[in-house]
Amino acid sequence: MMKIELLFFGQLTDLTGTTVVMLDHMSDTDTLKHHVFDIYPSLQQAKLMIAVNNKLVTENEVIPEGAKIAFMPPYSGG
Amino acid sequence: MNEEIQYERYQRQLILKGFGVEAQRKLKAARVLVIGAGGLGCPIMQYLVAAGVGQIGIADHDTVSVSNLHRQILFGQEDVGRPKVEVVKRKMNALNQDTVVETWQEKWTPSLCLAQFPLFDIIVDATDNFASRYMINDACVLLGKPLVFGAVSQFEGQVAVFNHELENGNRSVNYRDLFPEPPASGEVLNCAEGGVLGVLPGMIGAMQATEVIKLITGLGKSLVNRLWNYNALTQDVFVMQLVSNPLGAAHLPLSEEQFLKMDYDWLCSIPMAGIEEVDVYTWKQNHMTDLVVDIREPYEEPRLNELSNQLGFNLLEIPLSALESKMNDLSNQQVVFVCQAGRRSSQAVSIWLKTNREHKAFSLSGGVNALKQLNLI
Repeated sequence: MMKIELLFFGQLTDLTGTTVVMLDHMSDTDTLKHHVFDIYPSLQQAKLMIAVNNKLVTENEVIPEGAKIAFMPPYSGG
Repeated sequence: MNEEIQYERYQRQLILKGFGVEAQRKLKAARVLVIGAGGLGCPIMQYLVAAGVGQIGIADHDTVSVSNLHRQILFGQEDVGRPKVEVVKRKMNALNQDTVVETWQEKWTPSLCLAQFPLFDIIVDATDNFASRYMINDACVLLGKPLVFGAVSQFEGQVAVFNHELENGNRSVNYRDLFPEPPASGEVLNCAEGGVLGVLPGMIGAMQATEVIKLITGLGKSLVNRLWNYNALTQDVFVMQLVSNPLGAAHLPLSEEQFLKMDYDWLCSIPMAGIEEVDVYTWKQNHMTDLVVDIREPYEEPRLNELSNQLGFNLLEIPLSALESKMNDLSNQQVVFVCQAGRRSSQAVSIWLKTNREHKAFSLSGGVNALKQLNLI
């Protein structure tokens, strides 16, 4: 199975120390979230939205093979 | 050519394909409210007034400070201490006398939303805090106004057009669809705490002005149901398709009464659960035996080594991103986390709470900024 490309945006990169990680395929976004929160526990408290292949997901969704996933936080500055 | 439009002034945009006198008249007839006259607000207003928008409202309760000048490019050194809206009005009048500029030098409130939003065609969020952002979003949904949203964080920025009326009569997504509830206080850094590259709000504000002009003239394809994310370090652009979120809708006030009862300042100041803070005085009195962990990046100044020698506390420097992996080094003692302004140190305490329950950890309230204010460093 092709790997998942996971992108981090904004200040999430302060918590992960990286902007991108490659992960083994995972079936759905809930499974992915649990896995990522195990690797980076501090993300668990962070407010973030998830996009699969550039589309916002609002509930658990199936991850297609080789998907590009984004974890993006809100920005407040102006 | 109609007399009301100055051909020479707008010639370069009038000759654009699809623009013409019709678009220029629409701009002249448009009423746009820009909330926030900071890093985003400055370029937004400049470009909208220059383009010939007929009526601009601008709200900001603040005065110009020296730390504004690196990004708020309407202001000069001689403006420091003056109300921002006063300087803005003077400069906008000098730029284009055809634009009527109305100003509010007060903190924007829910009742101002209800009174003023109906008088404008488009609302522009150029604020710098979540309380204002959620208030403006909710008011736009309630009153059926399109919202041009922009926000920055360090080297990145987001732009979107929310709550725009679609052809089928429905409204496009709004901020609550992305983030149904505000983040906990301290979770997301603002410009004062996280820093911001000066040119970044310039770019994001210019994008917002572009979206306003497109909405008014009907040109092109608006950022409706899409979020545009820009990274100045890589020049990478990431566009996300947005969809409506039932969870977001559940948090929207459904009536003006409900909206007025929402306490946005309070909603956005709920601290992260279980985080204990200590202020500088209490820290000096009661915590000198605790290990102080500076979780800022190595380049953030001033460092705390001198103060550590002077007051005799133990100091470790571990950037927040490396904290989890180094948690074992800290396990056997009480710790006070310090950052620039006290937000990241709250995050550090939350990381601590996940792994260490035997010893307490505190976040130094106000961080290094508070130490500086009290002339300790």
